[in-house]
Amino acid sequence: MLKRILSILFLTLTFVYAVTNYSLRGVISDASTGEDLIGAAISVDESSSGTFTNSYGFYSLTLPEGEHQVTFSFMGYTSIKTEIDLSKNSIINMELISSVIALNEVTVTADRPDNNVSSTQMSVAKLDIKAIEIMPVLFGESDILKTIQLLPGISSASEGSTGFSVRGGANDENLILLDEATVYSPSHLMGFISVFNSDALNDVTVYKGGIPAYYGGRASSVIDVSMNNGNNKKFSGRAGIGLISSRLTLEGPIIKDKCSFIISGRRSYADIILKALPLDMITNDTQLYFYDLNAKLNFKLNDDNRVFFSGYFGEDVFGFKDIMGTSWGNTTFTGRWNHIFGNKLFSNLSVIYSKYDYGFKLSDQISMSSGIDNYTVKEDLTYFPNPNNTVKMGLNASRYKFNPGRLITGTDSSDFRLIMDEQYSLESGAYISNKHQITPLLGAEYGLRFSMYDQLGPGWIYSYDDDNVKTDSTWYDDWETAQYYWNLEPRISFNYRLTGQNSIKASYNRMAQYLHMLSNSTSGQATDVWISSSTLVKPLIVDQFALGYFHNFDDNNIETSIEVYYKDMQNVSDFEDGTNIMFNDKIESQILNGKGRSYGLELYIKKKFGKLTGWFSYTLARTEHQIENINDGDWYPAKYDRSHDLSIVMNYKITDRLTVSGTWVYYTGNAVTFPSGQYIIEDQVIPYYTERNGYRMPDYHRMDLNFHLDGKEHKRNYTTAWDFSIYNVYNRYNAYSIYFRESETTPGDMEAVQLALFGIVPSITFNLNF
Amino acid sequence: MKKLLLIFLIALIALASCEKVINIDLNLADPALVVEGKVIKDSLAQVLIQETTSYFSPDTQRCICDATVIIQEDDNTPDTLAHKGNGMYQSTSMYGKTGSNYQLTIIHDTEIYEASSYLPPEPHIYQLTPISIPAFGGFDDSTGFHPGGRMDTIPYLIFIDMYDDPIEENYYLLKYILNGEDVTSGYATSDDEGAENDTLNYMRMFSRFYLSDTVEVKAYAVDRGVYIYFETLNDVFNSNPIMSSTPYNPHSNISNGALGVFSAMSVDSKTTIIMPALPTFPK
Repeated sequence: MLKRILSILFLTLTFVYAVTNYSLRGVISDASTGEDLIGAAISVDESSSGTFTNSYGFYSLTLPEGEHQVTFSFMGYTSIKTEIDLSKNSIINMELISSVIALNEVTVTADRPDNNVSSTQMSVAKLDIKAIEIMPVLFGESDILKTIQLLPGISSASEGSTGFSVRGGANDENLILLDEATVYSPSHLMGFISVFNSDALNDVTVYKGGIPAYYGGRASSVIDVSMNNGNNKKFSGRAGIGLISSRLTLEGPIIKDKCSFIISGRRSYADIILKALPLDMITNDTQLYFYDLNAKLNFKLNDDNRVFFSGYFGEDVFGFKDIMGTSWGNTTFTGRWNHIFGNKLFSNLSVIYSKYDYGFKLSDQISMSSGIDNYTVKEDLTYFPNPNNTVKMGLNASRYKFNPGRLITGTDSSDFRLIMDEQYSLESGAYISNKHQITPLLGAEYGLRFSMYDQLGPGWIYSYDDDNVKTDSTWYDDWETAQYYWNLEPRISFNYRLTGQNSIKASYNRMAQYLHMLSNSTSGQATDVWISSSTLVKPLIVDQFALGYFHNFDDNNIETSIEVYYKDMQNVSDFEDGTNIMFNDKIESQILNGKGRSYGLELYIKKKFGKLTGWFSYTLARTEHQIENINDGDWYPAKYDRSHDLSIVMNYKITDRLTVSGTWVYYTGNAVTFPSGQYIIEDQVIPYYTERNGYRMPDYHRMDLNFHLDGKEHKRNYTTAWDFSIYNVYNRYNAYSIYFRESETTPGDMEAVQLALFGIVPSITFNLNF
Repeated sequence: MKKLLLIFLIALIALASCEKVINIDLNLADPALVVEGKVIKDSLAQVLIQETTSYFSPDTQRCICDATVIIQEDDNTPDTLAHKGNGMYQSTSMYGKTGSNYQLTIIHDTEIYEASSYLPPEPHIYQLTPISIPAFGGFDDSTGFHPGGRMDTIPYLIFIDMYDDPIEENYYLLKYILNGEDVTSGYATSDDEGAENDTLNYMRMFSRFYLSDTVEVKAYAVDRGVYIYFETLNDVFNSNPIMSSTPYNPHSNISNGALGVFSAMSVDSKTTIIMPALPTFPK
């Protein structure tokens, strides 16, 4: 298999040219802000040949000498068609003008109007940040992680949560990148609000299958989020006041067209409001807030060199000064250097730092902490040999440090302390892939990723007996490899155009994941802990096969797709019964590995233009695990298995100023374990369980509405907008969890109690652009 | 601003989560045997045998009265226990002895269930030390924050110092009895991993006491199988509705799918009265 792939790869690189060819390259950006347009299309001579801009807005094409008609287009922007007489290698930097009509439309995917049919990539969605802002959401906080849960194949972990499962994968199998830096815990406020402040974002792309070789490290999906570079034309800003938080974004040129910045902040103010209320409970010592800060600087040194620095810093704080406090948050930093070698080779060198930590303190008597951090260096090259091939290759290395948990009491070193060993590791990889238009009708993207993982010293590596008692220990020095894993991960996808407006796509990818999150919940909590693959904890390996049919109607206004997938998972993990997740230094020995499988059908219909826009998505799926010692070794449904998952999103533009948006979601309840009997031991009623995840939570459904009202046009240089949102319009108390207790009315009998989190939640947000 | 406040208050009310009793159809599992067997030092061996019943509307009559129950101490002659009524079987001559192994055999409906348990040497509690934890309570009204415990008084934790044989692996069950009543149902559990030299210091964070309480602590020495049963039993009980792991049946030391436990145990106890002016945590 490998040999065959490599030989195809090399074949494509050794093209022979009969005529003189020249390259055409440049950067495509927004005319009003100078922001790079990611995935903008460059098509030549009205043929299917052409290319797309990469994540830096850069493109390169190689064309025969002579006259060409080149079209530059991007969704929501007016296309530019231009005649080019190519007689030497040329640079054309194009600025596209945002088309007014598109401003308030919800668009997911499509850069070329027929991109969903024509691109090789399947199982992918691109979110338009402007469109996310008018979606109705909990507390009025627009949120990319909630919006993607409305897409087929992506299901929310629980009510109001930013946690999600992609095609039967667990919450920790999603690689969430912010300017290439991994975000380990992408949520605030117990998971109800994501760390992504839409004002600071440029582009969000979600991969749930056919994942390109460029990405690695997680088994199920990639959420690639890039921050705005900052307006390099003029100084501008945005502000918003919402129910939960307020936001302010400032951006502008430092040197016009050369150097720009953006800084965007968000802070919640529950504590400030609560302090203003006459409540005994709240005092000046009360701390209850979260904040985010996104900042980016970019320098365009010349046509061949650009440098970017971006960072994110966010934290949740909850506590009472000096008495107790808990806080958690992410920090990321990315430094990048883009360089163009010659005309056809685009290089990006990145240096990345990312950290998540959690802390708890009870006066100075008890403190707890856990976390993870990593440093990454990566080099990515994109080579544009000719219009039919785009070759990507790269190398990367990440050093991780895991702090699985420490509990310290008192201030004296003789006091009780429980410090779990820190873990260290190195994850590295190399990849090569080619996007190849084989014939005008057949396109392919094929690649291979080689991933390696070293669990490193310093530290003790233990072995355990069947009773989880440590039997042996070995010391490893700094940087000494205790356990080594490697995987070859092929990634292949094909697109075959049937007629103009429909196509068939197929893909296969293997993903390996070396990091694991220990969690008791499906949705992700601040206290969740990341651990390394090790001698005992095996890397998760997932093979995914997907097949899809894509058809557009009404001049690409209506996109439809149907996809089926099958996933085979090795080393899915679950805990032994009764495993304590926090401060358990034997946890490695209590993780059980087994097999998993997931398969499903996804339907998607989307209307892109006109007064009424929106989409319908439906997923029929099944996800099961088989782990020795669990459920007698039989297959059982995973916690996040959902049979049916339906989302309807509609936006209707009533007048030029008023847009109403509504969403309705319906899904089958998660699989849960309920008792099938009871008995009494030591005078306590004990539930008797006969099978794992054998029951279902009640079905979930909910409708949300949002009214987006643009302010009247002002002569001054600012615009305003209001968003009125209603979450859970018909006030349905959906079950968040079900537990059992002795009946209050009939002592001796048991009863089931359903816990619901949110009834109807109205909210209001005011937005200002200047 | 006033409006914003109002909206915020509305949101807070909406946020207050809602509980509701609902109807769920649960399967009725085939009845399984439930065994509670005890051989306590210097007490007569006894075994209670019942069966599982419907979860929501349990039958009151669930005892197994027609089983054959046999206990053998080491290689001595097996003793068949007599049925005393309501599923309780008791020996007339077998008293628990430290250092002995007990083998339980139950024959019921042609099925055979077996378990064994070792009766460890007696534990010994050196002393009980109540220690106050101001951080868990005792705030004046200005902070109004009371994370656990009563609002007006400072809670005490009771630290237990007990002997632990450093050569053997030892397992203990502990019970706090407040003014004559069990504080927790079942037992707290501890292995001896935290022991230093020959002393184990144990404290249960969630059992809090107040001034002038009379607290008796009982410590039982058990074998590993019994310890694991009660540890997993506690885990099943302490799970909360929002963040609990997948529920399961406690790990029984009895074969053939029977639930419950067969435990041989020896016991020691000590009593303390919580007096003012005791040292403050940390020591």
